[in-house]
Amino acid sequence: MLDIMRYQFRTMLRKSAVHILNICLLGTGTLMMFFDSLGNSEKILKATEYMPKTLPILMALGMFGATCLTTMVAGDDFTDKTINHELSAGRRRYISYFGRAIPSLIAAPLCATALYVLPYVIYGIAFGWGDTLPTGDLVLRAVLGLFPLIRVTAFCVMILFLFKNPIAACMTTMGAPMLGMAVQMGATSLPFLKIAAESKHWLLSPIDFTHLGEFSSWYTYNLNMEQFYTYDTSLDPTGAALTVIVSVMMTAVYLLIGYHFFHVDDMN
Amino acid sequence: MKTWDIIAVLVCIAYCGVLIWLTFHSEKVKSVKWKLFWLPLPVAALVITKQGPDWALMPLYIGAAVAMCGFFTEKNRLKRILALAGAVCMALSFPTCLLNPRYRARDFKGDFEKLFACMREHYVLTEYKDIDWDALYDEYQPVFADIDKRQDVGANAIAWGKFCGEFHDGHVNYVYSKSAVGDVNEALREALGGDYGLAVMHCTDGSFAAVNVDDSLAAYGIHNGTVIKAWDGKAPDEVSKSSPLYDCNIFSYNEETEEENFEIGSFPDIDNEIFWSGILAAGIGGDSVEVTFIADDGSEQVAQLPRTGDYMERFSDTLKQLKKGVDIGNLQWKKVSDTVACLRIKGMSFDSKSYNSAEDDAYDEMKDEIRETILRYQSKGVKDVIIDLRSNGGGSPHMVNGVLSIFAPKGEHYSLTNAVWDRENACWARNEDGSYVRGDDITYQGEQLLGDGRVIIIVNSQSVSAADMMTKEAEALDNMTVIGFTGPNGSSQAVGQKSAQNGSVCFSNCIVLDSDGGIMIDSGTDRQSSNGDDVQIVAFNSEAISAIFDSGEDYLLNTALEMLEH
Repeated sequence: MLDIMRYQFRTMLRKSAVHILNICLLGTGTLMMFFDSLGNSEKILKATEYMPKTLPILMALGMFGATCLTTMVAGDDFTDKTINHELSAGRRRYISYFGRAIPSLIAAPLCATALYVLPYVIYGIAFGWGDTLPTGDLVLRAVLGLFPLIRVTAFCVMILFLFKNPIAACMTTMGAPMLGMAVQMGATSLPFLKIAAESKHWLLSPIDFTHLGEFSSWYTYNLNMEQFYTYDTSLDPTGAALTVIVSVMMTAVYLLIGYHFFHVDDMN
Repeated sequence: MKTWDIIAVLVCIAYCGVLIWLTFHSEKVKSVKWKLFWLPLPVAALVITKQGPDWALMPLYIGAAVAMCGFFTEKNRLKRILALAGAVCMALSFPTCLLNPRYRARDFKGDFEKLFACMREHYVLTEYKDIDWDALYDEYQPVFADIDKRQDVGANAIAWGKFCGEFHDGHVNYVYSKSAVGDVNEALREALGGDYGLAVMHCTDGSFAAVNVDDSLAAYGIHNGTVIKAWDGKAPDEVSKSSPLYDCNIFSYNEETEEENFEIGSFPDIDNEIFWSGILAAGIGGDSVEVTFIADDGSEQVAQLPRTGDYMERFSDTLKQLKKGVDIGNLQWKKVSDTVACLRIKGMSFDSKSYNSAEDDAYDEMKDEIRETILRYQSKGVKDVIIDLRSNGGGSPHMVNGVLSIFAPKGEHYSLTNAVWDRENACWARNEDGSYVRGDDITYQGEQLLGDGRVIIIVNSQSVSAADMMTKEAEALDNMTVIGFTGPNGSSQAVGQKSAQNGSVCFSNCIVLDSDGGIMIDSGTDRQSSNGDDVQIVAFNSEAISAIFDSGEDYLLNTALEMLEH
């Protein structure tokens, strides 16, 4: 199994399509902040001042990156029949399955985290980090965010092994970041989005993940229309625990379903 | 049980039937792909229920999980057993939903906790009004806990109305959801009580008079303006205090048009409260009430008036007659005499662009429109202007300055002073003596377009916020006079809002200072607003009552016209 895992990691690092996609997503997030900040604000905001307004959107971009990484690397092995050749050569199915699932579960969440954290680091180097949000709380949220990301990746792996089609897996899982983004932007006119918005956030991984990028805020203003924000970055301990528990549980369920189907699949 | 929940349970049970059929079909057409049909069931169970998950639907979710377990087995008999067990389990959702009092329950208690905590942290007049948050919590938490237990939507709105009323601040209001309008109206109907054929108002001379009187009471000798001495043996203002809606801040809306039916207010300024102190009395009583009144011959008489229906319609109609302004649109003009034109301002907003701007030229377009209209009227002989601010709900103070700048005497005029935000401590900055640090003054330039012409502004107790500011600024100008049966509302701090599951609460959130550096306009513990001292109070007496309720006249407008003509 280790050789398959090693190959998967190596493909992630060497595949140019992966690099181009990640650079595009990173550039999109970073440029979006630069243009918005320089174009719309009278005063240039520091990174942590800017974060509450953009973090859920950048997190959705990160989730999109994680989905693409999984389907581009593990999914390609279905397209070029590498898995079929492995099985023909006598590899055990659990080795083929977990040899692909484990690297995705490790790399995709880390990649997603980098995709939404790095734009702030770059922006912070350019315009300053600021102290609007405590860095310790942000790190805690980023760590906690890994769990719903693992869950999204496991879902993607499951779909990939059910349909053996990277495009189908990508399109199905892409619904997750799009769902997260739509709900964050308040688009709840469609019944399903309304349900997603009103559900307990830890039930749905995309909502749960982007929820970690939201900060309880309050604003006041003066009559010159200057707005003054205050943020509460503390996390509800029950919600945080449920994020971890539900994510771990659902990751196991997704992996089990994916493996069970792959185990009995005729691989046509 | 909610329709979408019934649909979800029935669809999932039917899906289990499909799974059972598939077990037979898959024996004929062999394929591993049939297994995929076992997976969508839990998704369907969660998604079809339109309002999201609920604990009472747990049998549905468990049943879906049980049936889905068929995915993991290759034995068709076991698959059938699991699908059947799942369907039976799902069917248990019906009794668990129907017998569970918390099924799809609204979280009224949680709403109170959330909104109360937010107000406690951010309400800016806590010290100024000496608000005791602990006492408020101790009083209202059990009320909302009880409402939560009873799931009483109407009582929730009224309890919030009472809670908001405690602040005596026109900016503290509870906005309930659209879906609650019907229930709230029913609760208000019950709370307002019965109709005995009249409403009662406090007159300027201190007496109480019958208003909006039903023709049937002529038989008793009661008509509009009849002095009411007692209501069931007590003074009407005392009786009013026993109403569940006394000192309550609540709105009623029309269920179909969603327009405001009426507003019941707790008044920041005690003088306004006195004006309305009799209005709730006329709904209080049993099958009949004993009304003591002064007959036309001057004798004191007693009439036993039977209850003829609900008071709500008469109450609403009375408020409408007393509060209505000139019936034209916002910022519309009407020529009311040969030499006077009236500008109606229902709310202080022109358009969204100007509303969100603090630029000096933001209201130039509005000012141009007003200027053009005045010049056109002047060419037709108009000299004076009446500005009707009755029931103006407020808006932008910059629009106030835009309007006033057209009429105000030439030169610079003071409007208000910003407070300073302390970014480091995330609060409004204070001096060592506890007063707020003064920020920049907001001023405007008058152009006195009317020349020697005069302006009369008409207000009522619902002229609030920016309308309050306009009144205060106008009082200080030599060519302007403010009139009304009462002064304006007496609330002028800017507003913040917090939402919860069943409604949201608005409250004073931003400090606005006056020229002395004190809180602008709002009343403190003495419940005396610093606005309205120079308002010329028009006597509410038998003449006014007859003009309004017998002749349907706009008495305040006519009074303003008389003042301008003499």
